[in-house]
Order: sequence, then structure tokens, then C-alpha cells
Amino acid sequence: MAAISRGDPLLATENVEYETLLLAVARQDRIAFRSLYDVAAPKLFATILRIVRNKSAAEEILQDVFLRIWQNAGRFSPESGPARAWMNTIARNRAIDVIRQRSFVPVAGGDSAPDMYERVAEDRDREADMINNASLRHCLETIELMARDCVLLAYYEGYSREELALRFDRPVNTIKTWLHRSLAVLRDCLDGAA
Amino acid sequence: MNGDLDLEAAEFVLGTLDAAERRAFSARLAGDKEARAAVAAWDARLAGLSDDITPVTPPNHVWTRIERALASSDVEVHGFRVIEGGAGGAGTAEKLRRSLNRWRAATAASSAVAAALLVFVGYRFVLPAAFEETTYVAAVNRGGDQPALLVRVDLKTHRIFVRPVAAETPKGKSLELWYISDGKPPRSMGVVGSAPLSLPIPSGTHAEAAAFAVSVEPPGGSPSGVATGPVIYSGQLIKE
Repeated sequence: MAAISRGDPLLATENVEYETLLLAVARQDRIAFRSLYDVAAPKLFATILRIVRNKSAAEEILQDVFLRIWQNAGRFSPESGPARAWMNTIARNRAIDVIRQRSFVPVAGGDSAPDMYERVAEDRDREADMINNASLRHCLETIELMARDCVLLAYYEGYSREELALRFDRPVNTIKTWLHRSLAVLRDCLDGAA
Repeated sequence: MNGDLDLEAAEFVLGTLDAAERRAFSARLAGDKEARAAVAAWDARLAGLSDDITPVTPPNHVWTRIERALASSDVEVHGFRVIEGGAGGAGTAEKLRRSLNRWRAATAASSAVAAALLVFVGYRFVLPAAFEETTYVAAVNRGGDQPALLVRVDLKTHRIFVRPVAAETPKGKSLELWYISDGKPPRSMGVVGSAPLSLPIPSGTHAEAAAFAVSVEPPGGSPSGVATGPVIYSGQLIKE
């Protein structure tokens, strides 16, 4: 999947499709909404599932995300970014809102089939290599390994500072410093490349 | 660009702010253009991370539920999130109360954070001096990033203050604010315009346990004194 969608032309085609559908949804077009669900839901569901690690919670959030997409499609403007990124932001925000309300995220959701979690977690180690955007990939490579892993684990799997501290056996303040340093490096590198 | 703001925005987008920081930053976003711009920039910078995520097809019942939710809110108030469809008749007050309960349960389940309606309670009146500064907040989301109204309940002066922030009134309609407490039928707090309102707390009720709802009504408000239109915003007090 990753290898196929790596090419920019395909991604660009996908973005045009998402954008066309989302603009139709803004006009309350329910057929377009169904089509948008068909093309967008699997990636959004994967995104949410990896963060909340619980199948039924992820389904509930996905439902909420699509209702928000239906209600707020009129606020989307193609000038401010790709349609998929707009929807992805809604999905990640909702998922993170939910897990931050809990004190600790279970390692695997109680009602999730183990293979489901395996499936969504399998490619974590190759994440940095699979990032499509060349400048983002390059800029991530300028960050030292553990600090970069912190950023990726937070982004993909919703790790909190405390969970990162446990995982890397470092004080929370150190993790916070790593995150801030990594993000500042990333910002300067990406903004410089733009 | 303020460096601290930018890193906080980055951590908001990344998701590493803790619950309290995230709540505070979400609330800040509603009224802070610079913070929103910082978040948008970080969303754009990190968006590429999601390009190649391995898709997982959701089960069919998710779409079924989405369709059902759309059908039940199928009231023509374009562009608004309808929490409960409006209808006249004797059952409306009860329906409104039930819909609020249902809505609250749904919100608790999904832990909505972004604020659309914030309700603050000055709790000084009912608690000992040691707890004087305790505030209660309800964060309710209709899916947007702007709060609709700010409602502050001051138990000391026994008044409710309503400040419209971004409540949008559908053309040819009025927005009416309802106060729901102690299992009683919703009471009208009047029509919400663009000007701030100050109202007395209805007597014999526990304002600290109240909920507020905003419905769409004919111009000038519901003629019958009960909500007739769909509820588009609502909020309940929670301890901050």
C-alpha cells in the first residue's frame, strides 16, 4: 500500500477526489457524503484506532468525526490545505481528546481483537522511511533517534509525555525538553525548506 | 511569533499536552487568532505523517449509525448541528430534557473538549470560604471552533450573565436560551441577540446543577413558552 501510494501523482489524484467530494458535502450532498466515507473512512479509522487502541471507542469516534465532517464541511476551504489533512485533523483531535481524558491508555483495548492492534501497529518501525513528503522525511532525519521516536509515537499512537517517560525510562521533564527541541528543529527545517 | 505559544501549539497538534493543558489550550483557541494560526501551521507541517498510514476498513454498522444520526437530526437548519429536532405540542419540554440527557451521555462518552458554550459558576454562595474560587465549566461543542455563548452563573448576586460570542442566528429566526434544572420543564431565559444579558436565577432551583440549551424559534422567541424549534447548542456545568 505504502509503496503504491508513495508516488506524488497518485496522492494528488486522491486529494482532488477528496476535495471534490468534501465540497459537495458542504452543499449537503448525501451521495457525495457516502462516497467520501467510502474513500476516507479506512485511513481515518486506522488513525483513530492506533491512538485509542480500542475498537468500539474508535468506532464511536469515527462516527462522531463523520458527523462533524457533515456539519462543518462548509468551513473547509481548499486554499488552506488538502481535504484529507482537514479531515485527518478532526479525527486526530477527537481521538486525542478522548484518550487525554483517561489517566492511562491501555496497552491494548479490552475489546479489541489482538490482530487488529497488530495490524495497525505493525509498521511503526518503518514509519520514518514511509513518510511520503520528502522534506518532512529529511527534516525528521535531522532529529536524534530517541527524540524522533517520541514525536512519532506521540503522533501515531497518542503517547502522552508520561507514557514516553516510561517507555524511554527518562523523567517527564526530559521528554518535554526532547519534544520541544525536536519540534523546534522540525519547524526550522520545514519552514526553511519551504 | 511567540516561541512558547508556538511550542504549545505544536504539542497540541502532536497530542502531548496533558488533559488540563489541552483543555486550556482548546478554550484559548476559540478567541485567539494567533494561536489558531500557529495550530494551522503545525497541522500543515505534520500532515504528511498521515499520508501512508495502513487503512483499516471500519465495520458496516459505523455507517449505519451515521445514517441514523443524520436522519434523526434531519431538520432544515442549514449549517447547524441539530442536537434535537424541534416540534410543537405538549411533549416538547420533556423531549428537550430527554435530548439533553442523551446528549450529555454522548458528550461524556466522547469527552468533547472544544468549547461552544461555556458555563461558569461563581460558587461562592453555597460553599465555605475555603472553596471561594471554585468554578464550574461546561464545554460543549457543536463541531466548530468558536464558542457560541459564554454563560456565567453567579450564585452570590443570584444572576446569570449571558455573553454571545459566536452564536449564529438562522435567517428569519430567533435564538432562545433555556434553563433546565431540578427535573423541571425548561424555562425560557429569553431571546439571545448580540448584546450581553443579565438575568435572575429562577427561584427554587439549584443553578450549580443546571443545564442550558439554545433552540431555534420564530422571531421574538417561542410563542408558547416551551421550546418549539431544534436545539443547536447546549451546555451543562461541570467542575473545572
